[in-house]
Amino acid sequence: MSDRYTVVFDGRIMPGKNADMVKERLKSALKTDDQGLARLFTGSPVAVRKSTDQATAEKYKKVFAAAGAFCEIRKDEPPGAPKPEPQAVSPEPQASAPASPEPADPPPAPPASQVKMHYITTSDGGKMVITNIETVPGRTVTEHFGLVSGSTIRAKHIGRDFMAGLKNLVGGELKGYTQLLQESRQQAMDRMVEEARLMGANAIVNVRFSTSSVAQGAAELYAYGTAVKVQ
Amino acid sequence: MIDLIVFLILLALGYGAGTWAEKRHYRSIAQREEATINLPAVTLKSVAVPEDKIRASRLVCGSAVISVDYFKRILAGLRNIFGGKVKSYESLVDRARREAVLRMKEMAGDATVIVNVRIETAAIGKQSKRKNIGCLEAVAYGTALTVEK
Repeated sequence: MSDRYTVVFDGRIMPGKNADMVKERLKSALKTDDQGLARLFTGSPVAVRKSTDQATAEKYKKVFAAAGAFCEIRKDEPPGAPKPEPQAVSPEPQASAPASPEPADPPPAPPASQVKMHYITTSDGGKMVITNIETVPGRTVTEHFGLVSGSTIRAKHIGRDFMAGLKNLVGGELKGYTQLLQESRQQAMDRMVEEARLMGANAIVNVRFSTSSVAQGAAELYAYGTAVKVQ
Repeated sequence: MIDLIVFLILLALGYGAGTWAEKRHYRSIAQREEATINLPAVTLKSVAVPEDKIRASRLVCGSAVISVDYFKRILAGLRNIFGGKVKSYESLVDRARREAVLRMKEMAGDATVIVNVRIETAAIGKQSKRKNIGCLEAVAYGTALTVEK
């Protein structure tokens, strides 16, 4: 019998994504209703799909990534072994915190120095922590690589521009531009993460964003930070 | 004559729809600010909690692009002649910033506090030299910390 996998979602969305947009996309991608969506975003890990094969699990991961959310694929323990698998409705979120390195022996509370990390997955499948304070809480910086940055210049979309022109008359939020800038910022961040990965860092601290309008109708999104290695 | 009528219609439309949209937006902002009042967003680099109490940390950000309506743009144009406070743009930046902060808080989810919040604004979509504030983007970002109770 081949291995079975569980797809777990704990409500994390990618940085730079709008929670509403992610929810909308997930709703249409998973073909669920508001109630099903609320069950996903409870803040504690939720098993989206239990005991499935690897291909299906990978497909789920791709769908979640496209919508701007993270989900984890966990290998099911063979029956008989204690299952550290989170329940669909977990009464106590502390007990099912998924960051524990030894899932086979779930402690009532994680060890004092254990900080749950929200990792960004890099292009080679590695993990990267991003914060905009000077340290990663609970971790010690062991190596310092210096500045990393990423930038992207985006021109406006002609269709969006036309709609924005109309919207400019009445004022209010230009949703198309908000989304465009968020996507570009995400791209700038991805480039920054890639640069840090090539340096061998596993965290970026003190991240800053800046936006500038370089030419008519084009905006530059710039993200920069300090690449470090933490324990 | 036709030009004048078009101008007046645009002005009336801008005033009517703009005021309505702004009021609605402010109502929604006030409501959501009240809902997220338990999640403080501070500009301090660290909060007075022991490091071993921190359970999670991650970068969160939120942004909004808001544009000003036609009426207010004309009003601000007139104001440019005499100088003084440009009230119509004040509400524009205020709305954009508050919306951005709210979205950042939404992204933080069940975190306890957001530290080192930065808010930046940039004018995007410069159409010509004269109308240099077409619309404005505000972005707020910070590090969300989840602290053990």
